[in-house]
Amino acid sequence: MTTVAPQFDGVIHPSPRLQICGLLAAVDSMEFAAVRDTVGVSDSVLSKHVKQLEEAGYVKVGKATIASRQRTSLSLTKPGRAAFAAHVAELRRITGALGG
Amino acid sequence: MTGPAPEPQDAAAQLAGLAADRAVLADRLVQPWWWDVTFGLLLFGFLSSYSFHHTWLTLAAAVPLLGGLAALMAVYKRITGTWWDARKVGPVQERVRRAMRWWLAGYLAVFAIGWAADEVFDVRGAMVVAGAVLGLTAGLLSRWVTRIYVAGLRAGL
Repeated sequence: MTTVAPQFDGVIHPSPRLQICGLLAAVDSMEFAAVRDTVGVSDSVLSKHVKQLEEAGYVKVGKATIASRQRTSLSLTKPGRAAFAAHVAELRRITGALGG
Repeated sequence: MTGPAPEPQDAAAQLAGLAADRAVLADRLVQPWWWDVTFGLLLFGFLSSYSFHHTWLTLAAAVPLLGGLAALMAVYKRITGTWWDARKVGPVQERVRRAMRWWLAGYLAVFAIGWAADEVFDVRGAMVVAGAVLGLTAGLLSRWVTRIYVAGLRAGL
């Protein structure tokens, strides 16, 4: 197992973005609607957070037209995966203080 | 865009939230049984075509195989809203890579035996049997990969 250096990431930290990254880290890609339903936010709120993650270079947004309907898929970029792993490692490091 | 690092209790709650989200995600990733059956049948159909000893027929059989695989991929995305390759993402990458290597070695061995029996020794239907074995194992492997992938997600981060 590769050891990841803990590093707090202010872009990922806010709750909806942490959730989004957590979901996308477990798959190659996930449809916008599926992320929205799992995170439990509105389209506009999710769009806002996805845009911030996209601007940070953490999330890639893909669009495809299938059966005349446009489908938007989200995926974590390589830097996004690395940043998320480092952030989770930092959360684990912080919670280590709980056990004493 | 940076904020203060969370307190230990908050960090623990966030980790618990991530684990809970993964459990919810795991619930939606399992494909219906017919998906694996169709996958196995597509491979079986293609490999069985070798028994006809016509190159053009085998090439033609690749069309429904490739079309079927593309359709299965689209259907999976439609049903689950996701796509994943357990060799590259998720909690069981090394285990799946190892299993795939073994399966590929077995696939090549069974294919070679079936092909030799059918083509060289003229044992009619040998590739049908080989196709049935490989189609069945491919369907079972697909099911197994999903099962351990989902179990890994449910086990937490």
